[in-house]
Amino acid sequence: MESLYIRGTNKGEILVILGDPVKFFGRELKKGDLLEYLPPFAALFPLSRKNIFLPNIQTETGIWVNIYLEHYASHIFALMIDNTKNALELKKKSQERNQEYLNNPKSNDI
Amino acid sequence: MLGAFAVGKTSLVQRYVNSIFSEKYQTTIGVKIDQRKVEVNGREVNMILWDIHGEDEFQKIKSSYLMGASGYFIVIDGTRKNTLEVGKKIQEMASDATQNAPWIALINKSDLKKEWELTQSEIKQLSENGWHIIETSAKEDYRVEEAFDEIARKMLGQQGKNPA
Repeated sequence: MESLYIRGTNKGEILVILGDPVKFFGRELKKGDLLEYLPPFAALFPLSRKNIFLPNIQTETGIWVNIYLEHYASHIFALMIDNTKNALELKKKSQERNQEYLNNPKSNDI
Repeated sequence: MLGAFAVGKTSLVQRYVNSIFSEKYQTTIGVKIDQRKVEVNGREVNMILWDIHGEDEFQKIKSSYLMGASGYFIVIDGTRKNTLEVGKKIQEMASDATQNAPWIALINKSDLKKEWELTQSEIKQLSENGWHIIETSAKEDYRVEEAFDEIARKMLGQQGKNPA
């Protein structure tokens, strides 16, 4: 399995309930961990929508993950970190864009 | 960090967080998140910096990236006038998505001032229209620290106005 599934409350506790370990914002997250705080997302709670999708978040290890936040009930949410995204594909896309910029840095084509 | 592509958003973050600058251009795909602790008015603040990809015809900024933001920079490349127009459009969208969070416009690449397409009179006009503008250079580490300190002060000021 290449995703982490996490649930917790907006009071600050996040429990990792399944998935392979992943290094994420300075923490090695693994099954059974009870986190006090996951800083990048703290400002999102309480969620103003039922679902929030944050695609292509690059972690400190350079991999890209998709993040889904889902509001289950009052004060309860699920957070899924999906690292199945094809990082190589994104790297290739990034390199193509770099080359375009280097070929024409003053391009108005934006 | 918001703005058109290749205006220097990632370089500004890298300068601020890691005190480094690289000439090598590396497009940001999606979002890169960094953090740095700062002291503002005697209070320690953990700044979480969302370095969001530059907007262009390939990548549009998702408003979900902006939800929960306490403040933001609109970064403009002084050597490319069209990045101001992109910045204006993004600012309108960000203002809605963040419910009028505080923001500052950074006109970056002041080390290349001889090549600037933006004129001082245009910059003055923006200031007169209420824009808070700071001219920066990630390359020469010019006013980068000041810009981040200023946005932190603005964000804390805004928090103080909101009910707990």
